[in-house]
Amino acid sequence: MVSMSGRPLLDVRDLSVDLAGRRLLSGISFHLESRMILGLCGNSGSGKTTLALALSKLLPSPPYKVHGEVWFAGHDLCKMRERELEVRRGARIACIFQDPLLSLNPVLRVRTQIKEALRAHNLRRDPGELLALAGLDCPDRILGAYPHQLSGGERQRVTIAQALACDPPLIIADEPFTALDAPRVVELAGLFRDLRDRLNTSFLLISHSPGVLAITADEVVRVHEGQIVDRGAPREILRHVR
Amino acid sequence: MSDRPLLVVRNLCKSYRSRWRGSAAKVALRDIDLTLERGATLGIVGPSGSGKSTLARCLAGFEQPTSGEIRFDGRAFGIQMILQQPAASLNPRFTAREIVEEPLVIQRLERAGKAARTLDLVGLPATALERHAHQFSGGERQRLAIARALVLEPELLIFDESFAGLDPALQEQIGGMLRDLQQRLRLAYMLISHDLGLVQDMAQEIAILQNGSIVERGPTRDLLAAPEHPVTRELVGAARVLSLDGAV
Repeated sequence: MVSMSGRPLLDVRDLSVDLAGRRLLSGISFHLESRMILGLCGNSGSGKTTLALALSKLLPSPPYKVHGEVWFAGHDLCKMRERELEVRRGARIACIFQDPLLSLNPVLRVRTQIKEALRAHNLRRDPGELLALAGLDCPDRILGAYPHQLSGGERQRVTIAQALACDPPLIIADEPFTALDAPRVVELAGLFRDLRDRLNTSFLLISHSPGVLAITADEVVRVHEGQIVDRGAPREILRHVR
Repeated sequence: MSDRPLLVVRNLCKSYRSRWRGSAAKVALRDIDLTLERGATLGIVGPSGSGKSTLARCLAGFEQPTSGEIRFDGRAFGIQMILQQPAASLNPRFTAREIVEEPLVIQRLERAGKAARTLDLVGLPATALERHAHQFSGGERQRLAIARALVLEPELLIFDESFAGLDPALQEQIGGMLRDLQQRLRLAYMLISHDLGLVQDMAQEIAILQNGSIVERGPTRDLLAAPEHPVTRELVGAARVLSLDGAV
């Protein structure tokens, strides 16, 4: 599905990233339509995470040098000033990382942390409603809990609820399932697809697990040594990986 | 070499006392029975919080069991443990030689020639000895971490989620190396993971842990073909969904 302007939601053109004279990513071009889960696979060190950070403009320059264009909802993020970005980042592109224990504050209750995310963007929403969107059935117990009192799956759902606070059209998820056991992985993969269908959210899902990508992604892009080498249906691409 | 099992665990219990008065003790392990033969691989699989790591820590001597018996029919330092993300825990300022020799230095054991021999076991060349940890690739660092455990000539290696987060190609590489080492050195392995898919290729036998108890155990093939306990069924079902060809 293409957005109303006829452009894809995210259009990356010839993106490259250098660090201390070493080329980490080169000539990356791809696009991501709205309401699509695009998987990003590749071995450790292939540049998956660097790409995610470059897209969310989280690579500090210096020392990183980022070239190219990242068109998102009609703007080139690479040309934007930091203050404009502040508004856009989080509100428009949300990020979910590997270990929710690292991204959640251990000494604040879940309610406080979700309210923080809402306050940062001047939003008035019911934290319980966000948790329900993330598939947490008993919001009251979760809202009153500290992160350590929750299971791994519940914690990751809390970070998803935070990410959903501003209805972002795009969520970048970097290995979001690694800390979870297999049954929870299957459940959360279902949640991603559910959010895509109900809220029209797009995902860039980074994972090195062929199984995770096969059950979650609509299409998969394969990165190898900093370049995109393949794009297509998950099972097609992943069969060659093994 | 004796024919007795390398490791026998009987009625192993571990509970943690609560720091607050009046609240109940937390039972982490309940009546665990295990037997492991030399040269065999046992998988311990269970959801997060089921007691897997506590079991590993009791066996490795990091924790004192509350009650029960652990009989290990082997040498001193015969049980070595490889932790989660072992590659990330190497000191970046150390050379490969210093990393591998450190356990010998700590135990005041003879060092001569051992670092090079151990690197050879894990498939690293002697030229790697003087390189620093940060100069190695992810796979090589994984091998270094295993070499560090091997240098004390253990008979049982416990891997506690050591392969989580490795990409499939690397997992396969390290798995092949471990199988080869097992044959040559008659090592016993205990593979601990929340992911059935990760251990099924290597373990001949799997025990499923839930809430501190073993709820089901058996030869890997039987367990996967006919899981009985609900937890096992859930784990097998999820592993099947996540395997590309749909079969475990």
